[in-house]
Amino acid sequence: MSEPLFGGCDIGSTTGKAVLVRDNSVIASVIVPCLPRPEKTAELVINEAISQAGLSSVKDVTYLVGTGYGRVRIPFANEDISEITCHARGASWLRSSVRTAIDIGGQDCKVMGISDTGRVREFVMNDKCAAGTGRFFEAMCRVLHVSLEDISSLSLESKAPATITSQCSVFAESEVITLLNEGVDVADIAAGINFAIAARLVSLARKVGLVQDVTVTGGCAKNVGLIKCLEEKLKAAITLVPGDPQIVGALGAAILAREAFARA
Amino acid sequence: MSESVLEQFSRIAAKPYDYAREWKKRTGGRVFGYFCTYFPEELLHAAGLLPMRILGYKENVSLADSHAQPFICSLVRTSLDAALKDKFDFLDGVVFPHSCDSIQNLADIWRHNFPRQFSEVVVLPVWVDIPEAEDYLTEEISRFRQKFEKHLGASISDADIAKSVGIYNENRRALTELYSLRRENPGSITGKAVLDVVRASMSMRKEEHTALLGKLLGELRVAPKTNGATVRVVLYGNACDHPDLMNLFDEMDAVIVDDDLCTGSRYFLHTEAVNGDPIRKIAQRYMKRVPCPSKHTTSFDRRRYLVDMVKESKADGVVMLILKFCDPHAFDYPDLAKRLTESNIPHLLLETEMQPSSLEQIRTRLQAFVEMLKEKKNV
Repeated sequence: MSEPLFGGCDIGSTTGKAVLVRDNSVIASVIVPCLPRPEKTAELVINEAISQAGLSSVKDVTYLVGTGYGRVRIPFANEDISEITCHARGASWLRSSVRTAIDIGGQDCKVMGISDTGRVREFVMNDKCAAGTGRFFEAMCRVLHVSLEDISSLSLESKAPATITSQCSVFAESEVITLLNEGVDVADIAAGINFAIAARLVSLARKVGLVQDVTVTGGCAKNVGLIKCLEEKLKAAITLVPGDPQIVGALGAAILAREAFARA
Repeated sequence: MSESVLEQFSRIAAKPYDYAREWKKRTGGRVFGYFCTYFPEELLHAAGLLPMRILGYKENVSLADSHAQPFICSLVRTSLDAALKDKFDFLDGVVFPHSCDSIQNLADIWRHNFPRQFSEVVVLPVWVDIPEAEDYLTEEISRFRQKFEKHLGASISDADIAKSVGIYNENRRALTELYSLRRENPGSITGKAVLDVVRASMSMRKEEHTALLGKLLGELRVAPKTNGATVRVVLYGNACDHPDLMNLFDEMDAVIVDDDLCTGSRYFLHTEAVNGDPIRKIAQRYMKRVPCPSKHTTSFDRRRYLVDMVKESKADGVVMLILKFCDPHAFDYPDLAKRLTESNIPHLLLETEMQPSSLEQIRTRLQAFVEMLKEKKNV
């Protein structure tokens, strides 16, 4: 009989993620765009992870934890744990020196203070609206006719970032349209968007307090321009975790699955 | 099958305005709405009325925003909206204590829109623990009494007011016992049920409520000890009228052990003995009760009060339920949060609104908080 296999399945608002862990190493990790039904996203992403690991069925997974917005609707999960706990665990497993994790997801962002044992000490989450999250970036990309990757690289090219004052993604969109009509350079608008989001995150982070190492997780952590803006606004260095920051929640869920199994 | 006592409380708490309509039909009596528990409702009761707390309306706002800015609390906003939609057609009068600016201005908007309805503002003192405040409030309540008597075309005797204060005190003592039974055996009744009982008390004639509550207390006194739940929580905040949110605590295996809520213990804690001038007694109680954050006192320190409550009820953490745009509570929050953190008491802020809203983000926060408390307990 082979070593037990642990799974984490993170069904977020925008993407579904699955991670499989065996013998203290990640053997599969998959990201898929969300389908309208969380159950379907969960099945899609776990089946891809299963085949990536060269296995045949989800039944091969010894214990699996579900997380993310769709966590209560994952048919094959043994239990569900909030994404806050999962992101903290995943970040700290990847880099044990992490004491603050900022998760910027598709629909909300969270700042977590993490203890030296990798547990959530304190956390805050953004307000109901989606400003400062992946959805906000997607809306901005639509207006600017650029990709998410472009926002990052354009932002880094900017010499004079535009000012975007609105905290609300709907109003910010109108502001961006105004800037475009005024002939402002797209790179400067991209940098303005990153700075606007960074400013929101700073007020959130200040509620928890920043203890080094600070890391950023979630899909938006791939936006290098945003990370740079955040470092500037936070006046603190950000250390990214190794690998893909978008799978940290699913990874944390898999690690917690292993811990739950060990306790049982 | 007949309705259990708790089911009755929950039904009335969920639809208090239906209860008011039914009471009116049953008794032929008059119903007055009041907008904050600082209103001396004993006076209304003494005249045989049903005083009922108007605590917003669970429907999206469509008319109120033509009359007031949207960044006022949803208790005021949805109440105004419901009134404009004729949802409060059963009210014979409305009374407003000047507790906060939003309620004060609501009174003015109300008067303009419903000029034929009896409405009155009672201007309460803000600094409550000075002797001048007591004298002032005694006079102010007497002024209201005269105006109210004129409206009724009848006088209310001191003896009737004293009798009502006694009936209110009896209800307050019963609710206090409910809280102490819960503290001793929190698994015996859900946090939602306890808030339903208090909410029902704000809506029912007090005699009827006390009688029903007596049955519940009888059951709770002999309830078997349970120690299933792992996490004990104290609630703090203003108006919590969210059955779905309260059900989440159950779902997450967290028990409520005590609260400092406007719709919880602040409504009934502290009684003043019925002797002497009943109006002054009402004023004295309002000076000495656990104050609303909209009041100023020099003797009461809510930070210490909350920390003590956590210690005495052996709670693991505090969940703060604050109605969005409630300035008095919002201004107090950072200071309270700071003291809880310094006292090593985990706390979670949940912003709420009266109108229907998605529960998912609240679920994530609460679940993470409970996971955090469980982890802390295990270590």
